[in-house]
Amino acid sequence: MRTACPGEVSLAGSKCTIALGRGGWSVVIMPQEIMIDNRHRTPHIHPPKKQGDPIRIRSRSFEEVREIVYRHAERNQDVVYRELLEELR
Amino acid sequence: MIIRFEQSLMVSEFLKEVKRRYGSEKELRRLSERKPKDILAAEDLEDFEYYSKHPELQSEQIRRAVSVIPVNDRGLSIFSPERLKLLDVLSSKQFESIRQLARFLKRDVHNVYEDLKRFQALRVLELERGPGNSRIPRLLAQYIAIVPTHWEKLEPFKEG
Repeated sequence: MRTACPGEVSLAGSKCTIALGRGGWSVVIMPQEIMIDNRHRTPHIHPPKKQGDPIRIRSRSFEEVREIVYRHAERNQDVVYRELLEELR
Repeated sequence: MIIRFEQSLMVSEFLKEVKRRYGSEKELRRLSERKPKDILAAEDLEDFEYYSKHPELQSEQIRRAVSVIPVNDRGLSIFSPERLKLLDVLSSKQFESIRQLARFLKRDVHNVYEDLKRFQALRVLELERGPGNSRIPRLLAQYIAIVPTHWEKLEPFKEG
């Protein structure tokens, strides 16, 4: 669910916001503010807090990307951007 | 295990929700300009602009979900009996203020407010502006899913 983000509270280290629509999907990981989406055609990942250009990742379905994020978080008990990027590439 | 709060809404409902949450498109635009790194507001704005220009998509369905990852003790603490009761009550009754909700639940208004803020941060509900300084709690999530994950081979439990 995407809404404005007042007073962000991290309950369990990270949380993952997922939206499907507009012929595309996006996965937002808070509070790191990492976004993975396939808007504008090819899937890509935005670095935390949009610091840097989006990086293209391998083409996968939304379910596959979501599972990679879930597995990553469960294994690391957090979301580590650099490692997640490698897993998605 | 994954805890997932899910919501499914039509584009027309999404547009109403954005207006309700931010006040107006102008306010959303202002927030997005003031906080350019707020990716959620930026996304809302992008979607709002897109769907406003495409009225033929008004009946398209948008699926949204918030997952709590990883599920640890803190994550599980959202399911205290008081918090589950709060969600249950909000799914069947409308309140004009947090104070009214707290009175109904026979709980301290501050504690109820803290729980609502927690759920608001998880996008499970929103606190709409009411008359004066009041906030109207409104449940957004339609489903709460607890998804067991069987990705890895089960390890035998070893004590100690």
